[in-house]
Amino acid sequence: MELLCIRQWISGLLPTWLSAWCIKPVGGALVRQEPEYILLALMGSPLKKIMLCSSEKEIFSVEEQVMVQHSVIINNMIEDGSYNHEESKIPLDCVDSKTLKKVIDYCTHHTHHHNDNQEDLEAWDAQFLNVDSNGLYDLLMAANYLEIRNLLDLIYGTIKNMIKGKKIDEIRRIFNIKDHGFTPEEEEQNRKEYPHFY
Amino acid sequence: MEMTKRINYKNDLPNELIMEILTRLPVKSLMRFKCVSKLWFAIISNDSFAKSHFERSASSSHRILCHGDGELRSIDPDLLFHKDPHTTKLSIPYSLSAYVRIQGSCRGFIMLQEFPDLVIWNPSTGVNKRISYDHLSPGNLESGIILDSFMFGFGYDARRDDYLAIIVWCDVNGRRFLEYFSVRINKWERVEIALPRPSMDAAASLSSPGYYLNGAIHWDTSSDSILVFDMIEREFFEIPLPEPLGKEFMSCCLELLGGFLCLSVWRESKKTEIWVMKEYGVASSWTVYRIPKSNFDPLYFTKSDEIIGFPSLGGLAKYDEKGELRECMENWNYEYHFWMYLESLLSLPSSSGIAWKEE
Repeated sequence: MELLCIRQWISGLLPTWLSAWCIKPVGGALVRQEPEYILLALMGSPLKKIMLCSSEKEIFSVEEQVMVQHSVIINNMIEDGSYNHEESKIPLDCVDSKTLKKVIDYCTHHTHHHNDNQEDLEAWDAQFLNVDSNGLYDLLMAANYLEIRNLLDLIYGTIKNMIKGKKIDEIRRIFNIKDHGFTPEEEEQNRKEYPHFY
Repeated sequence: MEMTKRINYKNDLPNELIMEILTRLPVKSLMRFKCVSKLWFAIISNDSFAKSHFERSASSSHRILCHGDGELRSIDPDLLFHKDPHTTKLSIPYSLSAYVRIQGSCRGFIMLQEFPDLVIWNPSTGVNKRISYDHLSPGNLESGIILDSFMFGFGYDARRDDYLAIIVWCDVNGRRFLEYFSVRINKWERVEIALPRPSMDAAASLSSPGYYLNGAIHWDTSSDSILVFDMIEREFFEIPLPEPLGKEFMSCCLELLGGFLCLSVWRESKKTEIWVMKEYGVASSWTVYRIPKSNFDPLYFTKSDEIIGFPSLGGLAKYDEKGELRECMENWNYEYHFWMYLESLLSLPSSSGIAWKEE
């Protein structure tokens, strides 16, 4: 359940006089504190979360630790203090919801499972990249924008294997290269000299 | 057949991302992909791209040049034991004859030698440059040259971003000279030198090819140490043979296997010792591989610390660190000469800063 929701739910249940008098030990002293935090503190410390906002204005709540570990951009934002936990959300105008969800999925899995053995991680990665034709492009652009090094390496490795032995016409189709830029004479010359490339 | 997914459907991939993809591809694919588009052609032909591609992939782009039967072939060392190793036939540049000798290789270039020519050649791209050493033919010099004394070498000077072709030779009066051709300056220079150890003078006439490694050229001199020429300092040094090697051996040959200096030692016993200098310049890093075959001729040192080579009775064999046979193949023609080189897209600098391409 979202942190925001929990807080609202708890404060809705408690009588108002309790809110005014709740105290909690902080560093040896007793300090007034919102009761919902105390309850959560008793349940176990709440994980710090951050809000990411997709291009479609959908908000995703993620553990701060997960995103900071993977995305250089988000790590920099948190470190230089431009992100205010209470209020801000990070707008990611060039990443749509579907892609953002995938990216968060990747980062979360790799943070929580970083002790898994190599084979399991690689199998998970392979399954993760089993996306439809447009998805790979969107993932690549998102990973590049957020500067997520290991996801980028994974995608580049996959693309490399995809194109390594392919013919020129196939490469042009994969990369949607409509205008190759060669003059008709140059193109003809290439095809004549290296017919097996095409 | 399933169609490969398309990667971009919206806008073209930004150039930086295309470069990131291209920089991970092997040289062979890149040479082909020059035909994909003008943009890809420009990226792949670019000197800085070639340099960063080389730096990224140098350790994984070893190839073996196989010279025999008047043919030159290129083999992927990882496929040596496969039924179909996909060897690539190469055309010898300048129609040099079948007697051409390989005298060095460095950063994807190979130096071929056949009097009076030296040809610097990148087999992966076809780029080549011919240099004549006609001025060193006996008729052209006043004091007699001892032709047998020629020691060739080819290397890269990282400080000046330049390549040097080197001939070390001796005249009848016993004076020794270093003759070097800088690709950037585009002419021969000569300097009189003395080898670091007098005993090398006699031994150095055995004309071993020069092995380029870590910014220096190494020659086998059959004396107590390896002769080294530092490309940046332009000076001669020596690397002593490992002490535990001792002096009781029938022969000791210097080789360069998979990026490591190696000594191939034949003794009275029925074993061949291959001494590998695992850390360049560190005397304590010499590691011995004891191959249970006499006269074993090593060819390649794999990433998993195994040695591939030719047992004297024929075939090809792979041994591990403990001297255990891992793999072997019967039919292998040992009449060929082999040379290790790297695949690269690099081109030679020219004195005017434009890459050379001569046919």
